Amino acid sequence: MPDSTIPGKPADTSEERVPETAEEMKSLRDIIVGPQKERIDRLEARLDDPSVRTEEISQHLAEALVLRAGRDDQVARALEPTLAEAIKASVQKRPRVLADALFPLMGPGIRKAISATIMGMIQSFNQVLNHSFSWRGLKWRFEALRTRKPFAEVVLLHSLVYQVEQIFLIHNQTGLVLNHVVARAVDIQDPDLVSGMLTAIQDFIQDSFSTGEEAGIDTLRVGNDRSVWVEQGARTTLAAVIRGTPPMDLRRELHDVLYRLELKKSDALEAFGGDTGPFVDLEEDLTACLQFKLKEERTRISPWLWLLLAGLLGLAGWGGLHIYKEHQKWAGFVETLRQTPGIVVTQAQRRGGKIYLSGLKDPQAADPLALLVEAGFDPARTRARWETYYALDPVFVLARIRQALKPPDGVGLDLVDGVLIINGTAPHLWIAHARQLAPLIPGVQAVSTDGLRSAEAHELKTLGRQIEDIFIQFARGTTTLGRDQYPRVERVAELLRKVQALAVRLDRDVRILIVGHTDATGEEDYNRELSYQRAEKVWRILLRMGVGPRHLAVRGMGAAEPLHEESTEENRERNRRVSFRVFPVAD
Amino acid sequence: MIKKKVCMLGAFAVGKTSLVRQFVHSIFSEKYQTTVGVKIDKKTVEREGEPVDLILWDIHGEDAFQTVRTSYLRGAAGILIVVDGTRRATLDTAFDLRQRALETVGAVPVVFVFNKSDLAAEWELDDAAIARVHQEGIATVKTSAKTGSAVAETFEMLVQAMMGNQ
Repeated sequence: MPDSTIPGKPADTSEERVPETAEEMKSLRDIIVGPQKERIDRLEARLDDPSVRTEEISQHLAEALVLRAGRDDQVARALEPTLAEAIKASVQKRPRVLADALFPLMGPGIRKAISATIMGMIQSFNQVLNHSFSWRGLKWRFEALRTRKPFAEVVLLHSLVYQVEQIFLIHNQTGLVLNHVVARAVDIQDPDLVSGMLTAIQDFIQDSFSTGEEAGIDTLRVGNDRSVWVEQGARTTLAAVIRGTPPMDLRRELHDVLYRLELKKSDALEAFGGDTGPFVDLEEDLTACLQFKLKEERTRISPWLWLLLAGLLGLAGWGGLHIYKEHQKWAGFVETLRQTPGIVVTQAQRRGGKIYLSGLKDPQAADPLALLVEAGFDPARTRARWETYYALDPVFVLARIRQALKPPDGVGLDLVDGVLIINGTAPHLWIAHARQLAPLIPGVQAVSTDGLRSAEAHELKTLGRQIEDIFIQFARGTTTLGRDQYPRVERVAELLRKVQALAVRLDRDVRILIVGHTDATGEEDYNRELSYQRAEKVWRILLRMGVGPRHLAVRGMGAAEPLHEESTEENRERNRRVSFRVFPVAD
Repeated sequence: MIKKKVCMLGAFAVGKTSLVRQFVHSIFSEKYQTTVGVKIDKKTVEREGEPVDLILWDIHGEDAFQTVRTSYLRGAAGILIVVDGTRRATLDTAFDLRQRALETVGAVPVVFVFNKSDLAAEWELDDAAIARVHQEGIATVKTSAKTGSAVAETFEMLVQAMMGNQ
């Protein structure tokens, strides 16, 4: 035990007296450590009791871990297997907890990645789709075949203002590619080789033109539309392969990205020995540089389309005109049909190239099919159904009457306010027939035949007049007929026979007087007798000539009805005669 | 992914280009060498199951008219110097090139590749000469670009040296 543990005591005292027994040792110990014993016991208890220890460690564990983690990575190394196991166990047991915890972290990242992928896909798909079926599209397809490039690339080529196709992050010292990103649908060469060669060329240029360490190529032009923009940093170079004409802003952007990346990977660049692992995570930053701008599609309409449009318009116009004309024609026909007397249209339609007509039609009306043909429609494609009806139009009623009565020549028909007026001369039978039939004809309310004369009655009158104009002459004082008188008698007989036949046909009574006359000379009684005998003589001859006796009557008038004043012998001779009177009995 | 820049050097017409032609992935034609002075190829080898990309800078041959641009050597992780076994002078050039390379890139593994082993009868370099190279602490390998003999091993040897060096 060191001296310092017994303060205040001289060093020589131990040499004076040495305790010898256990008893003494115990009491000595009590004297020396008595006051501390309690503390020691307490310490022992603390050390022995695990619960107390755990409690104490728990109070300082966090601080201890922080302290040690600041010094080296032993804590991390020690915890790593346990943590890995713990995570594994957690995932197996309650995957939900970890998923929920990670989601806020990974969700946006995943979303971003997916949307970037989809956007990329949409971009190229859209392009390809837009140009697939156009004339230009076909041209491009041919170009793709000819140049053996993928169609998508050819499409992009033509529709881009510019596109950053590739980004190389190159280690300056070695020319090795630290990272490389490439746009969709771009055909590339091995980036390692390209990068090496690019570096070699940079070196070559610097050496050849002694431009100094810092200055090198910053733009390479390849062909008409491709360039390589080179942005040199302290340790790395950013090379962007660009198609088209990029905006100058891109240069600044590339510079900023390079500066940021060098700062971010400062340590890894310092220690770079060929392992590109630490630079894998730069992909996102570099991909952001793969910008592009599409040409604004001017919707230029090709002259063919104009022509087609004009053609279509013309066709539509022609079609419209045709339809209009056709419609007008149809409307005109329907109107004509409606206006046609005796036709009532209830349906007039055109469906599926066929014509449907129906309604009422007077038998006297014009034929609708004839009207149809006249209007220029095809009756074969027409279905018509007409119900018969009787139109009350005077024209139709008259036509109907004419058809029903068939009036002979000389008969006039007129319809005034439903009253049929029949004028003129007609055979007796027709008149009877007409009188019977006319009131039954639709449209005829009453019939007037006041102006209608029987043809037979008229003939009878005519015949009677003819007979009455004939005189049979006699010589003075005799009943003898001169030979020259016979033809007159025959003529009378003929007329009489006709009269009689007419009377039978008319069913009318006719009275015919055969009147004998003398001249004024001689006695009146004698004359009367003579005249009677003369009449009787003619009567007899007439009977002999086939005239029926039924209607005949004989009368002697003496000289009472002279034909002429007997101033001369000649007149006297004329008065010696037989005359006739025909009396048609009115019906 | 591990990538290493490897430079191939050697006197004119020692067969550098033929040595690697059938073993590397190349997109550039040989005319680059005569214009830019370098042609870049790639060779992927495996080391402990991991691929290692060797970016081969095939630098134009040293001759009276054209000297190697040392700027092409910058950043190299290993150097192959090709010697034509049938031309003694190419070994001197090799030493000269090695000297200049090491001055430019610092201490990196260097392998002397003695090419044209198929023409053994015409060799001007004997084993003693090669032994002398060994004494300088330089790894050596005999190859034939014509038969392909030991070409693959050459790259493996260099990788071994480079990765061990790390």
